[in-house]
Amino acid sequence: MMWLLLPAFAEEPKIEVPDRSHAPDVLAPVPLELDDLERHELGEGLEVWHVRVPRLRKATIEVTWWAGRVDLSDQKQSAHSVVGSVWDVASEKYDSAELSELADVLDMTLWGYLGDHQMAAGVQVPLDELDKGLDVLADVALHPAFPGREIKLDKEQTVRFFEILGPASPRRIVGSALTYAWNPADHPYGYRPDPDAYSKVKRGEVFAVHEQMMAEGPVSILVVGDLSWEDVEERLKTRFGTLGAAGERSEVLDAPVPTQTRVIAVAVPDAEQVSIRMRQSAPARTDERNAAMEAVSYALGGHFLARLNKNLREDKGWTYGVGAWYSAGRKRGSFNVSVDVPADKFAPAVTEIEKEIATIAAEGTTDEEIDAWWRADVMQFNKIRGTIDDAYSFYSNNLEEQETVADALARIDAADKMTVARTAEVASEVLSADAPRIWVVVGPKDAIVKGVDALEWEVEWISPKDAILGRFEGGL
Amino acid sequence: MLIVWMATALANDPFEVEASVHTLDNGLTVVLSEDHNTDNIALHIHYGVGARDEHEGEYGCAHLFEHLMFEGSANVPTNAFDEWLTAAGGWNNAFTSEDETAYHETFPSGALDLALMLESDRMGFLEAGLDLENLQNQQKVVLQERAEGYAEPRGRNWDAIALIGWPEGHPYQHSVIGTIEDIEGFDLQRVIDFWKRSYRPRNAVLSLVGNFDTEAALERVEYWFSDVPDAGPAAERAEAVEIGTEVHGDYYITDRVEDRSLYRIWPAVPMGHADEPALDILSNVLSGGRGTRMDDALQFKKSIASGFGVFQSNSEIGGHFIMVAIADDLPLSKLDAKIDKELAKFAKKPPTEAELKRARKSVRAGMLNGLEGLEGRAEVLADCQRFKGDPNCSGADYARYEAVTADDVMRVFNKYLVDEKRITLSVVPEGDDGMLEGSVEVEIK
Repeated sequence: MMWLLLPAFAEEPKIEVPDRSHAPDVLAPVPLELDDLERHELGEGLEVWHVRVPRLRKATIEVTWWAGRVDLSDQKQSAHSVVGSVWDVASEKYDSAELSELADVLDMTLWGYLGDHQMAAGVQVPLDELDKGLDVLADVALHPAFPGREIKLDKEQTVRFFEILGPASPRRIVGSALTYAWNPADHPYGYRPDPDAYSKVKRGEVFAVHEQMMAEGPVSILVVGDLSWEDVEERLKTRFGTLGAAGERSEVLDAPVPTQTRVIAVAVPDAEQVSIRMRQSAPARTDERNAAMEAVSYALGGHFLARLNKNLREDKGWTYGVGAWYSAGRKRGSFNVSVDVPADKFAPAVTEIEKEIATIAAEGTTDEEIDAWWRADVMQFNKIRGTIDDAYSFYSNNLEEQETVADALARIDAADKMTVARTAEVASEVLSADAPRIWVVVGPKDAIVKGVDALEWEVEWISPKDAILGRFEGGL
Repeated sequence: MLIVWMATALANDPFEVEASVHTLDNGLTVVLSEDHNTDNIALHIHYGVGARDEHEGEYGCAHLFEHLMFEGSANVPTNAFDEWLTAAGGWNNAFTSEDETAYHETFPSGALDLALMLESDRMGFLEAGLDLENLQNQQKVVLQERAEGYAEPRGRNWDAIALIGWPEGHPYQHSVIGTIEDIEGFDLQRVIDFWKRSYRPRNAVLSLVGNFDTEAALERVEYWFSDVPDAGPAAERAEAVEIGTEVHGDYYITDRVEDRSLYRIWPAVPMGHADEPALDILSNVLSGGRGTRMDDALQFKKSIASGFGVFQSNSEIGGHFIMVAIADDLPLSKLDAKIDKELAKFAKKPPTEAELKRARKSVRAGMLNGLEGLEGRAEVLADCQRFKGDPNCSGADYARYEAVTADDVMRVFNKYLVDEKRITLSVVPEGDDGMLEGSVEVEIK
């Protein structure tokens, strides 16, 4: 239906001139209502976590075994990586070409994922293709084929990354070096890849790792979408009813944090830029300083005009952008800074980063920064109902962290009640000048040498390939 | 003000979005679409100005201007655009292409007035906020953006393709990011002139998607944009230069890479052209993942290439059909021969109905997924309105793909993928001679 309204016969409206003398008032956002995951049981105690999120076109169903890489011996690490890459490529019923075609035809995304503490297979599928999507998920998750050709391809691509792609990219080099510097090589989180071992992985070893994970991990199924429990109960029972609950979830491990400041440098001949990354210890997710640290991190690097961006990009024009973020794990956390600058701005940029950190450590955030952070949090929370990806991401995280909607709302409430004094207190503890920091810098050698001299840093040089493979000590 | 209400039939058509279109007295087109599933609103504003509108000596101006739009306007001091929007909990970004510059914001619904004030102020009154200090700073930031992109492997490939893929004088024959010389050379008057040529209500579509009442939102849009002057239509845009065989040739660049890439580029069609769907289907049939012709032949069944892809790149006045293959040790001449062999096989064996169905569904999925979130929907509605005069053009657009037959695919294959117009770009490590024989080096300024 279409119609036109032409106000030609109406009285000429009085034109109101907009008041541009100040920014218009903004109403405070309110967190929307959100349902929690509900726990159900099927068959022999298989737990299913379900939540209905109205009006989404697609649903996500994910099966998770709570056993992961840290539960495997060193000898099985390479095979574990292969499982993660090849699991979702083919199954007993569908070869890799058929499965790829089916995903396109059904508008379906299928994945297999292996992490430190879990192994999961999932599908995102339109509601009207739910049965077919579940059939495919059940077949892939429980009866993977791990074809020899696909294993060979994965080994080629992975070794290619180690040998060719990784060492050619400054950003991959700097990211990889930081990750390995954070974790000791002899800790389960610090596992270093071995191209030689990777290239020798046998198909039987891949099956064995998958079977071990399935046998050792208790299972959960997550269902997110515009589906009632009645819509899914029988469908899940038919396909996954034989899975039972057994054993304990893989435990998050204690892991060391750096005890000394370290500078690792990688020379890239003829480069014109220096990539700079910094990581240091920060409170864990359950630490009472968590909320204040979130506020501090937001003020330093959470948006376009956050302090580091304002300084290095907007005021000085030294970079296209600075990233700074706080990552809070269950047992430890980290604060991170990432920036690329012209080679001659390496030392000045580090000096400015330290200066901004010192300022916030001394003074904390401002009230305005806290308020903006709280509003941004509410907006993120209110996005959850908007797309299947946002909804799945939120509920999947809740399941992993064993949290609820109330926990998310409590974090928003904590943000609302945060004070400048509290942010100053936490920032001064966490980001003090003598807190051990890991710096990794990648760029032209002469510029790095000049920069570290100016900064009076002692530097450890490693090669691009050692950075990519983690062939140096970490976690010092 | 003219109001056209479009009430759409929503039942069972996943492409349909309930949206209304309005034209303000100053010529600004506004698309409004309510979504009460969240409390947020996405705003997208599409200006019909891009790298194509740059004159010689001002390459990179459209993109630089995208940066300057955040630097302040008559009533919004320097940095206040980001400051105010961030303080409201919102975020924003922007992009520039050959044809358009687009700005988008997502914010809690209580910040609608603020977002409209910010957008209207920079649409109507930017000049008063532009100053030399901000210009010089953003010149540095843009040069750094360019340098950071170029520092990564393959970071210069697309700029090289822009140089070799279009004939002399074609409005697309330079990169969107621009040349160092031009970026460094801009003065305040030049960028103000650029803004005056193209930034005006009649050259923009504003779309809002999210938690608002249409009538109330329209009233706020009218309020904030009512004093933005109607500056008439934008300056006439540069038109395409016909592409003959003069762009045909073999080119190369060296890069900080340890593998070799070969791009094959054929001049193809602009957006909306009748052959666009068949060319898209062709690209999907050749390279849409495991089980598709060339992906299997070159990568998944045999490890001839370590990476392979085929796609169409369409803009408003031109397009390319592009193939890219990556090899580690294989000389690119051998990879080139393998590609020829596979194309010859395809020429003898048209796509099956199953192949066509898969390709169509793949296109459909991409279109539907683009409509799911507020931000994506706001962009699609604005683009549809601008190019087709109907915010709900996605369904009709997809219908063109449903109609593609195997004969159509073979026809465009034979028409466009011809040797006489083929351009190649070899990307090889510094000091390596594995490029196609006789290739000419591309100079990127």
